[in-house]
Amino acid sequence: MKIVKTAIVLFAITLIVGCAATTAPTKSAATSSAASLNGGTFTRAMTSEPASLDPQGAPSSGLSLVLPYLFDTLVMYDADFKLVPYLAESWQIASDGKTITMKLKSGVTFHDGTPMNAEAVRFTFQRFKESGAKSPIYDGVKSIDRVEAIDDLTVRFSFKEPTANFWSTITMPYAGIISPDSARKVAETGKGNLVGTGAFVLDQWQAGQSLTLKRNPAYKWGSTLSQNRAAPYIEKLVFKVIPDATTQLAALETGAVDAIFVNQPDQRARLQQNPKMQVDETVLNSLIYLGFNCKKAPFTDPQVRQALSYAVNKEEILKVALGGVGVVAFAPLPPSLPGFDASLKSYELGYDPKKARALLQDAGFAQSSSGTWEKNGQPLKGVLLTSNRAPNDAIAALLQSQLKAVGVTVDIQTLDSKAVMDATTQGKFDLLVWRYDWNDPDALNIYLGSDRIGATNRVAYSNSKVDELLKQGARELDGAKRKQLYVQAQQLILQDAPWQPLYVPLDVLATSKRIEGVKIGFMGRMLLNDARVAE
Amino acid sequence: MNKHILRRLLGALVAVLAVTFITFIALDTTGDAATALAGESASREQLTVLRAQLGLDQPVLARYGAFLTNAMRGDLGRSLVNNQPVADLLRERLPYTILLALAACALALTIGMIVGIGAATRAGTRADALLMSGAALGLAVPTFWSALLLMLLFSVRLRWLPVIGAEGIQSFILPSVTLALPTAAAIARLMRSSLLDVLRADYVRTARAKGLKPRHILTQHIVRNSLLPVVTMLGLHLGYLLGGAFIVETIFALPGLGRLTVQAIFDRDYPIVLGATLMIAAVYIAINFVVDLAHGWLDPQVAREAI
Repeated sequence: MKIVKTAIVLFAITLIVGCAATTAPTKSAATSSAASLNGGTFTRAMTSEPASLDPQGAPSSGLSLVLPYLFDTLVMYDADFKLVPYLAESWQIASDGKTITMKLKSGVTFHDGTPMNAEAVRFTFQRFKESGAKSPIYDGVKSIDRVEAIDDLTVRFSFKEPTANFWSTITMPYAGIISPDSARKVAETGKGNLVGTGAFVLDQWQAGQSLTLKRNPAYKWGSTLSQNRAAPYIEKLVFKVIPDATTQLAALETGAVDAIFVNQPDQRARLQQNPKMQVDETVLNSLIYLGFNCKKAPFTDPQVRQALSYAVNKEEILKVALGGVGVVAFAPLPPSLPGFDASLKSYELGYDPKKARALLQDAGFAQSSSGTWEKNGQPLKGVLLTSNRAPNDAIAALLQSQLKAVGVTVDIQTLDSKAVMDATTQGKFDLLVWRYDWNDPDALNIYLGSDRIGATNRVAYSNSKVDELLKQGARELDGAKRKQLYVQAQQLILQDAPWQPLYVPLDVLATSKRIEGVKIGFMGRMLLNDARVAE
Repeated sequence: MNKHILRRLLGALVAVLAVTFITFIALDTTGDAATALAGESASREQLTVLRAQLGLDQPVLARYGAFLTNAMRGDLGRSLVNNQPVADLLRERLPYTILLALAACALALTIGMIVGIGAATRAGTRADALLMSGAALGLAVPTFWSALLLMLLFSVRLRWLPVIGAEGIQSFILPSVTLALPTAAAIARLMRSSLLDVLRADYVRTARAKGLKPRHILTQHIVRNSLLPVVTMLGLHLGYLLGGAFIVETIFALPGLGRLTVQAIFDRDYPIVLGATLMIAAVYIAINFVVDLAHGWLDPQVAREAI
């Protein structure tokens, strides 16, 4: 009988805790008066929840997913990398390139009702310099020397020297303009959220579960990228936190969410056959590469790096490891970034196992009876480091077999991505499969510039000629001249072979056809001002 | 009895210290928190600024010491990522995990006992073989796989239960069943063997010889006496259930402590990880205490020995 008692007690506890958990306080959703508009709810899946809605806080995929709907930036890029006015109406660059004067749109208000003006812009960038050290564009913002409010709607940015990547910095969602009032309140109370001028307003945030945004009825400053420049037609935009990819797929198929990003080839194929789903693909400003530790013998020798590069069959990787989702890369910059040029194809160290063997012989290696290469009694082998996320494991396994085919043995080491970052900054690897995402050709300086060794230049590559070209590129405001500098730099990089570019990934977005009129913008961002929910 | 409890408490304290220290060191040596926070593109200057802001420029032991002294005052510190108090974050998430673990525990006990008793009373028959094969399968199938199978059947095919969410009791059915299966299987196997031992005991034969009703013998003599090992195992398995909740919460998108911790581990947000570790260790130790007491309840001999 005592067991029965225990069971009853357990059950009672279960019920009490359950009730406590499910009656967590939530702000009620106000129904909009604008019923003449279409209304409806668009629900998207979100893999990781943002830790906060501070645009200047620690970056995460969840944060960059939500920010564009809550915060507007001064300017934005269209899908062809052209600048489009957003909160800024127009801008002028001084002839010496050291000041940029922007005229802001009038009549723009933050979600808290305060006006968006030059002072708010100044405040946003000042706050960034003081407390934005977690943000990926912290360095970019730091390169702005001064931000001044000239009059209510005129703001001036000054620089110590011309700064070409200014535009890619301020078009990032992290550079959204913040209401100074909301920032002061959050700083004082430690509670609440920062607010912007976005087309949607935060309605409700259930920690660990979902973020609900509702239409901003005051919105009338949309960009020219949408036909509807006023408030969106959609009433509510919900982001549901679903960490697991298979669960996301199940949620999409059962209608629990309307859109997911698809990373697995089999899931993409399955959704493409589903007549209720629309599958869109966007080429990202990203690159997956095979890197060599240029500070560690024998990879200090360019001939060894070139030889191993020739052993890599990129087509096979794309086909087998990625199910064809992606574009084979041959240059250090992806095709979507200014600075890429098709002529760089002739500098590619394309798949050629014979050349790989010949180069190893030139580098002083001899093949032993067991097939391995040796020099001064030292066998040519190494550790191939990568993160434990798909498809990196599959790529590493293919590379291992491709290198084996020319007689080079590598051991694969997979760690979580943060541990990989730590290991590489300390130089603890031989080969690396890694990725970068950046919206500006300045990426080459960040990831291959010699002043970044020990930090983001993970392969410890150093070439003073390349450094000089990259520094010039960062200062050059003329688009055509800037591109030429980066093309020259890439020619040198491809010859030195610190990286073998593997492929450019695609963002695959599956959306239920229930949602109509979605436009895919820069970097695969969903533009929702024209979107409607069909019932 | 007091001495016994004191000894247990002291052991628990040492265990908590060891667990948090190992967690801290493991986290710190596998990745720098500033690098993890600022992401792929941060320059050295940026990392230096960030480390100073977050106090990461202090030596490892100094930071662990600060965590301990603050924790003793009841202050678990603030998240490195969003500066929220760790205690608030844990309080927000813990109810979901406790609910999940308790529901799984109750389910495992119910299913395990029914199957175990069913198999033992039919020992050697086809039904017994079938039930025990089921139990073997339940133990062998990994949680992440059974979770997806259940989801595919009940949510995607039959549409009986929601795929995700934490609203209402129906959202907890699939997660708690998934979590309960391996423990239920283990209990069923243990219950069966334990019952078979007791069935052969002298006092059962005596009870039968006295002419007691078979039902009375089963409930009053056999089941009660075979429960002791089951309770011990359930105590051990609660740790497993709390750990398993990490996986189940991730798959079913439940906002529990497990998911918070997993994300914090990836972010190297050590105040959250340490806070969660501390909390889980405390819960685990408390459960073992309860199991000890339950032993005394079920078997008076244990209580007497402890004195």
